[in-house]
Amino acid sequence: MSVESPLFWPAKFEGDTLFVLDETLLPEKIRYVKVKNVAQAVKVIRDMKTRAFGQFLVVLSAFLLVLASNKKSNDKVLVAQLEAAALALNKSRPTFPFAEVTSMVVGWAKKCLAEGVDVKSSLEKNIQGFLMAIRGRRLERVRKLAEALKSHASILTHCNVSGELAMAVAICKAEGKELKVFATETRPYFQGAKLTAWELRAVGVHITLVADNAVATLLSQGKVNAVVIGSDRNCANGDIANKIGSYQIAVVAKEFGVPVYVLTQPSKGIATGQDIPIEIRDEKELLVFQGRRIAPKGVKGFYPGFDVVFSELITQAIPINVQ
Amino acid sequence: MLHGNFHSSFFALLKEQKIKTAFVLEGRPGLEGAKILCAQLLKQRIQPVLIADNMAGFCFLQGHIKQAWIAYQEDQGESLLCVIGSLIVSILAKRHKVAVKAFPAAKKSAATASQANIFYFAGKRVAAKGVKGFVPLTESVSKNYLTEIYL
Repeated sequence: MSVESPLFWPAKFEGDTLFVLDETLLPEKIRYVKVKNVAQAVKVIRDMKTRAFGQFLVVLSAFLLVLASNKKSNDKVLVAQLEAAALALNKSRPTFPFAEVTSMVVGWAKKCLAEGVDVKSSLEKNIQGFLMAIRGRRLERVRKLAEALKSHASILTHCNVSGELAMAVAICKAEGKELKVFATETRPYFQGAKLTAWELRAVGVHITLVADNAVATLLSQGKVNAVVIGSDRNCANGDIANKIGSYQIAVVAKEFGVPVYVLTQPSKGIATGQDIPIEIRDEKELLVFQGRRIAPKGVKGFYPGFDVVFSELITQAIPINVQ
Repeated sequence: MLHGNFHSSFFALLKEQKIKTAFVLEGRPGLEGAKILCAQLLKQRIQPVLIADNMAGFCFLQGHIKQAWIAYQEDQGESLLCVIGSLIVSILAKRHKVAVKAFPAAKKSAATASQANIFYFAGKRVAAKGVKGFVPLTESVSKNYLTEIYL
């Protein structure tokens, strides 16, 4: 992979501290937030300093923080600390399936305890190995996406696909495929305007920013021939949850016969999209921008954070290999 | 759900229909929904609930929307010229079997705005540098999507 977006792997361990890329400051500043304990890990997730894949990286790394801070306790106490960490992380943002990851880690720890194996060293090895495996599988998925994108593709994307779209189009470009990308600005946090536009520009791709409400014009006028989005949660029946706005894009794409490609992490943890709890965030995040209200006093706001996109609206899932 | 810059006579119609609450799309890039339409509704004692332009689908899916209104600027024969975002609302309404009604707009807007309009939000730059912008301000909505057109 010649070009790796900083958003592909937005957290790194140095010593006993996790450094998490503060995506809210991009593209003006590339700054990493220091995370030293589970409470701080929960805060960076809840405050949306990181999102999408970055959150999973933080969740897994939070267990490494627990292990690093545990100097003298016996294994039984350590497992209790890991269970408490899992509980706090699971509650941080309701739409994400953090419990699928945390239960796996706690399960490893309990197995070690039952078998009399040193919990700390075994768990460290397991988590590091798992992270490396995920990294390799995500790179594989980037290559799959690059294969799916045809020359002269005009792609519409929404929010940010954690570096994978930028890396896929960089591969396409290197292979001589001509591509262009339209990115929605993605209100209210502008991940499209700030993150996607920035990372695609960095790889030299023709990128055009549009308002979230311009999608139907693009699709109805044939300016776009592929939609590419990520997914924050996947269901056994193929439904997904992704950033708010994904549903209406998929509906409009279907209306105009434009294929929708979704990067997925197959999971049987939840049956259908209707079972996904959708996070409703504070109306202030919508009504107030950098300290200024955008609407008169007395106006209420409603801010659902995610949409469910039903499998019938998805043309092709591009899954990460979870075997 | 309301979208667009409606003629002033529209609000009497809403009062007549005893509408108490309306979801309003903020209306990028100028935020006319957030600024103008919300203020007009407050004057009529109708509670505006502001949503971002990408939240309409969620509201339809959850069954929050009982009727949708869009403002049109020109009758083009088989379609109406409306403010950008009206086509999404109309397609969603069709999918969710919600009536879409079109009412005359207060004024006609330009077809497009300069790309700089999408780089800023409430006066602050939000877009990465070096990108291009495409800023349509109007779009055609086929009459096939519409339930009723007011003259």
